[in-house]
Amino acid sequence: MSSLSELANGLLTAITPELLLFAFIGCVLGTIVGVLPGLGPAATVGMLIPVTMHVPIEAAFVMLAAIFYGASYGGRITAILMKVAGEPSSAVTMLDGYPMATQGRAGIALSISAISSFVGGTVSIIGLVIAAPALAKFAIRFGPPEYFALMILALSLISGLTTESKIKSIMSVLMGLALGMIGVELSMGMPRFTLGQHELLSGIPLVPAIVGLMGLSEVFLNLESPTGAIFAERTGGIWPSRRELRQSTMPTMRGSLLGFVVGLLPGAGTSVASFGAYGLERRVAKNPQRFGKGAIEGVASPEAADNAASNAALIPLFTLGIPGSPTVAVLMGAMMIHGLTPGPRLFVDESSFVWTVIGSLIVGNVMLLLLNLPLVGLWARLTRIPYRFMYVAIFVSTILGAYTVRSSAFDVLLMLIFGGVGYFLMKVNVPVAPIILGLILTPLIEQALRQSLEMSQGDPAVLVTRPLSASLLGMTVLAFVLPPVVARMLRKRRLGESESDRSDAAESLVPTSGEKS
Amino acid sequence: MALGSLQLPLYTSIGPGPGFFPLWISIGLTLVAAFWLWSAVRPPYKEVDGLKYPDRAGARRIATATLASIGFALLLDPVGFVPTCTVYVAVLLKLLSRVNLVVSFTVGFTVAWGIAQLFSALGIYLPPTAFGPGT
Repeated sequence: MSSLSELANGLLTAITPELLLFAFIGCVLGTIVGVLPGLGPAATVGMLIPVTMHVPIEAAFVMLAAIFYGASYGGRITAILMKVAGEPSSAVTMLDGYPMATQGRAGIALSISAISSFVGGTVSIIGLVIAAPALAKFAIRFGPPEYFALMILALSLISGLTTESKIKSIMSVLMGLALGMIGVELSMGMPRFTLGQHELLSGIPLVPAIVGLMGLSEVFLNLESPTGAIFAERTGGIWPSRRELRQSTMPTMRGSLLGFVVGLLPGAGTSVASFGAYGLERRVAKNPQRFGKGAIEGVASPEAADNAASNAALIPLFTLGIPGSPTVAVLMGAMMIHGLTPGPRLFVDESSFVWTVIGSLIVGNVMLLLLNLPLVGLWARLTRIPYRFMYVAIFVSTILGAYTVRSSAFDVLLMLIFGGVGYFLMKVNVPVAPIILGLILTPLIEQALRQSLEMSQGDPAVLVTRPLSASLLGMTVLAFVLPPVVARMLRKRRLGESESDRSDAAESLVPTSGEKS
Repeated sequence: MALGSLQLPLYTSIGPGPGFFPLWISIGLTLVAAFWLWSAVRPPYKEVDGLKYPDRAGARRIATATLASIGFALLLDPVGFVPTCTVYVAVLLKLLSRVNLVVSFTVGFTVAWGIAQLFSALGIYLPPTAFGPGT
């Protein structure tokens, strides 16, 4: 069956009344939680995973896709209206979105951001439909050494790009890998590092870990200094004029394409895409001085890039089993919690599920657009509810989420511990997303390494003698070596330029013979 | 972790044993931690970011929420969901949101009872109340 007919089947499943209802609930929940200042999509999706635990698997993922979109959109509302960014990519929207809001054009900024996101998401889904099955067919030839090398590459890419400090990222990845060791080891069935707790025999449960590290830690940070009132009081009209639509068409297309390409690279993240798109628009603009003062292109392009990159990040997840961004890492965790193993076999073994999820991305994208354009005013009013009242709802929902998965109070305590650890790590600028990734990938890495060594009767050379595995490991080395080398070269170039500028300036200060006379 | 992994078989006849991977991870963690420490104690202090402590009110809010949540986790199974959740919500409303005590308890009970009814309708287990009738 061709990709298009499979997509059509997936779409038909995704638009059944039951799944549409779940998509609606997901959009609303995602937007409501995403509106809370300081909570990004990864945290929101993480906090709402438990809500999906008690519904059929297709419904769960339709809902998660909708939560994913809703949370991203909710983040934009706070960025535009309150100048509070829940994640770095929303910070770009803030640059021109907030000035638009202060000029009484908040409604237009919100609707353009919704339309651009929709276009970016749609472009990316088309790319996903074309590229993913082909990539999955290629990846199906991977053996254990290739998988091992691929997962090491994913860890190095994610860790290298989430923070400025490499050492902190590596520390974070290693912490995740160490936590993933907890539980019964599969080759001999021996318990490892369980501290005598029978609840840990099956390993660290993912829901409390994700909710604690990604969600609760951010709530703790917000508790330090709660955000109070809305900054932009009036949203104004929501329908952009023909001129505004024309101004944002090309930026949206450029942002969509850039975001798609950037999203394909594991670890590049949505912020690279949205900052890149903003930079590109400034560069191509006839009047770059307008940026930062309410230029509509400054909202349209980054928003399209952000959503395109978010969707494109699903391609490495579906085809290689590698999450391309922290939010997708959380989605990967959700897939595993529901008993699915992301990777090339997914397109073969769970074909109808994958296409339903892809169909649900389209449904979620459309529903969010339909839901958000008329409801811009309502979402804006939500931000006026004092945050101190929101805490109570957040705490009750996180606790219920952690408890109801296994009906275990131990999991609630575990979530609180992870929340505390995440809070502390955020305070010292250690990224928490690689911990989740390490925790998720550890069993897979360990299994791939064990199978590789069994294949070669214990000879580790198997990892570097197979061309594909060697190439992937080579790319891992490059991922570590290349950025500092490039940074050093750029620094040298910049130094050279500033020195030549200085010498030019000095020369201009020296009076010429003509001037002397 | 390194010590724990040494107590597990490192290698078996069919390949790496349960201690193999944790040993290498712990070696990696030790090296990275040592490097971080080394970066922290020698100039130009690249890897050191000053820990920004919350102010007194912020610390009190975090401590309140944490302690109340620990209490919730400990009392949930023995006491039951409705009374535990009622007290939890009331404590958070009173201490974090500065809401009147009577209103806090009224809202707390309404929220707890509502959640219990909803979860019961959805077939999701919540611990029943230890004393008297109810969910």
